Amino acid sequence: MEGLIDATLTLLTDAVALLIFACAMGGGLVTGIIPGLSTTALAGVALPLTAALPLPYVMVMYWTLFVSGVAGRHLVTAEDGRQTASPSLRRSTVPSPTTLRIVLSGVIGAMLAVLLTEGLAGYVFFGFKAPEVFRLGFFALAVVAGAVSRTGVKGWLALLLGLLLGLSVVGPITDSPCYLFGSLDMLATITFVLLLIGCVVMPGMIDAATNKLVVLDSPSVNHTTLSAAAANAALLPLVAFGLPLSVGAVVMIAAVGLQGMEFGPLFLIEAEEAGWALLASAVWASIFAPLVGDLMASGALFLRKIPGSVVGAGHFVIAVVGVYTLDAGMHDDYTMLACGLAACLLRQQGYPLAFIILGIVLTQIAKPVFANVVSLPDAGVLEMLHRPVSAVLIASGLVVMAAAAMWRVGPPTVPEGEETDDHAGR
Amino acid sequence: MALRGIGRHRLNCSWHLGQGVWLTPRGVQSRTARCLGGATSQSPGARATWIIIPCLSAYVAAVGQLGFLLATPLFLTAIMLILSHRHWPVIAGVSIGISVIAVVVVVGLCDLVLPPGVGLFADFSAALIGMSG
Repeated sequence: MEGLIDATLTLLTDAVALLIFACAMGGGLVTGIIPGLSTTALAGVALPLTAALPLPYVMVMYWTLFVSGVAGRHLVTAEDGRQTASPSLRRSTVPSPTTLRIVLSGVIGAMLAVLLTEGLAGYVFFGFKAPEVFRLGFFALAVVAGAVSRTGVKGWLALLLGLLLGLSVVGPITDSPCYLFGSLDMLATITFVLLLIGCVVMPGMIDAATNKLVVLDSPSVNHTTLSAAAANAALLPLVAFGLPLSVGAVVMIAAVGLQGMEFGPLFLIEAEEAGWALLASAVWASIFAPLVGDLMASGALFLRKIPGSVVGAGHFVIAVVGVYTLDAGMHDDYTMLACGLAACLLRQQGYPLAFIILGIVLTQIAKPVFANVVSLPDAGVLEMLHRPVSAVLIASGLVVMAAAAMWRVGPPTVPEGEETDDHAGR
Repeated sequence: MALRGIGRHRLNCSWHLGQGVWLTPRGVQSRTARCLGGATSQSPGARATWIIIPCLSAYVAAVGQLGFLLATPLFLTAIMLILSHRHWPVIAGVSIGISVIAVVVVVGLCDLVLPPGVGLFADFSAALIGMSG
């Protein structure tokens, strides 16, 4: 809690941090309102521009953006409800009970992360050896596989493609390709940041330009409340274990990787200021974003009139400039374009891109620890099961995968010709 | 007399598309809509995807060859025109204006106030200056 208080004081006294917090909150709220925009796409666009920013500012910016994005989605529902309400209720500036529910659930999720992350990271650091870390990667893969099982063969193929790409792409976890496949030319491979931006920005641009997301149903209140809590609770596996369970978390990992850092049990020790800034921004954004959003709900209708093609084209222009800043050369832009074209083609054929991205990161987490496990003298499947944490993680992973497949948990199958919003990153 | 005849012949055969003349904005819109498979001015069809992707590729190539200053207004205008927004001239004009202001004024200010290598967004301002053609 001491770290949280210090980070809050820094946030209040540092003008740049406060400005970044306010801008990210505004950006997140607007992103949630405008059809065609998603916080993941906005975060991807901003990714290259954060390379020059200090890490605490980057943490504040990204998590405030994600939390405010969830609150912004609620604004659409709130404004729709306000249109049908009585005139006296319409003029009321008191926060609605729904808004207070979203604030409460977000704060509970954030406080859980604040209270548990430090202790859990310490336990993982001292108690986990290579086998346990590998089983942790297996557990995360099992969770993703459970979600994949609902999307059918194409989902599995997308995950396998991600696993394969994870072995040959540079970053966000590894500094060089894991396998060269017998060719030194593989050393000149693409970087993960460019692939991520291409995958996030170009399909988003096309969605926005062709107005596919305008027909989105407004999310239910329960869905938004759960999303607010889940968005902050996702901090726990991200900071304590270094495990991403959404595309938004992957963007965070890429942003931290650009600064030469890595999420995991040591993050709160090596980057203490940035870690606590992240947790503090989760708490304060959960409180302020829904309240500020409730006040600006009347402007939501105006924002929803902005043409999607303008938003999409603006996105793409900023992405091109941002990617250029990474190396001050156009070759990165060409690589990003090629990755984006491939992503568009894959998505056109019905392959979910989120699983490809998650597969890349999970491969890079699991592969090096798997190599360590195999090199142990008592390596073997049965020996690993004797370790209690390993056995529990394997069993949990298998149960999660089976349950998800049986009860159809995860994103629904997208019928051909129809598009839905990417909720994975929210 | 002969020239007038050729002109009329062209107008009848290929230049006139029923909804406008080929060289006018409305003509370009209707022709593009026809190429996209019947996309109307209000609802660009699903095939619009296949015209946006070449546009994005062309934009990246144009930034490399012409610079950010020239390529961006061209790209924004082309996207607005192709997607046939009702108010596309207004949107394109505003886009071009914002783009020019952003590149000329903001980069100019960055150059004066924040020389490349100084400040939070130094790399960004340096890159904008580099991309301005």
